[in-house]
Amino acid sequence: MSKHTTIGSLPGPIQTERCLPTWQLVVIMLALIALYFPVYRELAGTLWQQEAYAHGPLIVLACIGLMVARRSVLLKLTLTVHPAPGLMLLLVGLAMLWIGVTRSFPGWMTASHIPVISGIILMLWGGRGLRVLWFPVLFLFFVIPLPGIFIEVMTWQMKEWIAMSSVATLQALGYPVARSGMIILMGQYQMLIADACSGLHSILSLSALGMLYAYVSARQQPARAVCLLLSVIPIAMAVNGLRTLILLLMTFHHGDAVGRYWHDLTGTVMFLMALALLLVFDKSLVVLFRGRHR
Amino acid sequence: MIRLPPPWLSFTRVSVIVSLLCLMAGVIWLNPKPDASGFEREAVVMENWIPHSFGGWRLDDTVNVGPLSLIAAAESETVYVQTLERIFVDDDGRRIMLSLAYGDRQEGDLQAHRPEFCYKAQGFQLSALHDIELATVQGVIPLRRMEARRPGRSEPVSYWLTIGDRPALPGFHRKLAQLRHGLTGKTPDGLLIRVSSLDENPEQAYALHNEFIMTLIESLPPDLRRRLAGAPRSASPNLDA
Repeated sequence: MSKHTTIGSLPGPIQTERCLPTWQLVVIMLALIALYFPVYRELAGTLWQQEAYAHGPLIVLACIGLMVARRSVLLKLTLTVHPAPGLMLLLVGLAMLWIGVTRSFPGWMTASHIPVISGIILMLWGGRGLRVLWFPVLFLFFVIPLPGIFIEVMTWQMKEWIAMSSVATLQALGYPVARSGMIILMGQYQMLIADACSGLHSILSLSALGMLYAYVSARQQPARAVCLLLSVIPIAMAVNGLRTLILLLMTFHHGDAVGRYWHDLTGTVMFLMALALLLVFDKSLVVLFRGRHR
Repeated sequence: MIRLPPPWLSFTRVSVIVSLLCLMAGVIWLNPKPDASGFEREAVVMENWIPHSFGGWRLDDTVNVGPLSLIAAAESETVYVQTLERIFVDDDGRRIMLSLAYGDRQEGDLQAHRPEFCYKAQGFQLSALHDIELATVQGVIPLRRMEARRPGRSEPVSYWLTIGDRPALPGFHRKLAQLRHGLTGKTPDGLLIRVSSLDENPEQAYALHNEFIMTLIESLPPDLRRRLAGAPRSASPNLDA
């Protein structure tokens, strides 16, 4: 930082030349939009149609917003003297994008964001630029779809956890309930824990939201931010378990039709509830950490 | 003291960045969209794929012990575009359950689910998983075997997948086949073919599965042979993969 201040104190004309003029930053942004617009149009019809990745466009918007918010810091940074590594990274990113677009690989298209953006940042400002924009760049990882095998295994694990815990709870409450694989038998009803019930997609979007929240509100308190991030997955899983429990009880007491109705409704309600829980948890963290500092 | 870049630097550098981005944008703009569906993908009508009788086997609609529904376990219409489930019986009264699931985009989330998950989801215990290779008229196909058991039902299972025009099993080779097709600019479609029977003796069941699969592939017309067992090859699919 001390070096920056010496540069900042150089005479005006030279200083403005060696920082990035605002209009050039705007031109780069426009070129990026021109480049990625057709990609987003394609993703909107394919990957982003899937529930697990429907949060993709919001991630992109959030990243743009976060980068724009840091513009005043960026425009004061001096340019690096070593643009070559950044150029290489940018070329790698463009090659990935090319492969993704010509082969229709959503994974490659979305993953190209990271080398393209960080390549440009490195070319202009070097490592100092990345230090300013580390979060938006990292956040872009949420637009990349997870590999199929990972989804398959994770989904299975979550389903098993949900089936086990809900059956155990209902048994403890004295309900006539048994399970065989992913089929839960409760009274006269047979219910299947489907892939969608695993709650994997709500975990993904909640994690993204939680990370954004932690960055925006708790950036100055690393301990609080870490606690927040660690709490996201347990909260999402607990809420999803609760949802399953409610659905099983609804079906058992009020029949299949009611169960089905609630099945569609509870998804959104539970997402909001998880979000509310996260905020409440954060409030308690604020109180806790304030107490510590005093 | 750090070296300062020359005053004209930002303009040059920004020009390089912007022209690279615009060049790529132009290329993407001009590039005709890849055939997202990949292979010549006329509407698939699975109903007529499997003949009602072939080589000593005939369709059996007398029993109600249907094969496990693939849809029930996958529960997601995005994974399987179409499924076909049939029971065949031979002259000795031996029964085979055949399930086909066709998906027109075999990548990421949309790829076929492993039957392992499907059986486990319905309360089966799986044991003795192993892979073998079966020689057919169309070439060697890899088969995965497993013994699925739950109280009152013992069901040895053999299955394989196709990715585009190659037979494969889930795992590394499936990934490889997907990548290979990807490099030709096509998203492969795929088929999951599952053969099973109710039998306490797995060895006996597997011998019957082999016989059934070989006879079935032999009796199909060339285009369906290709669908089920891949393009004709002599070498093992794993060796040339």
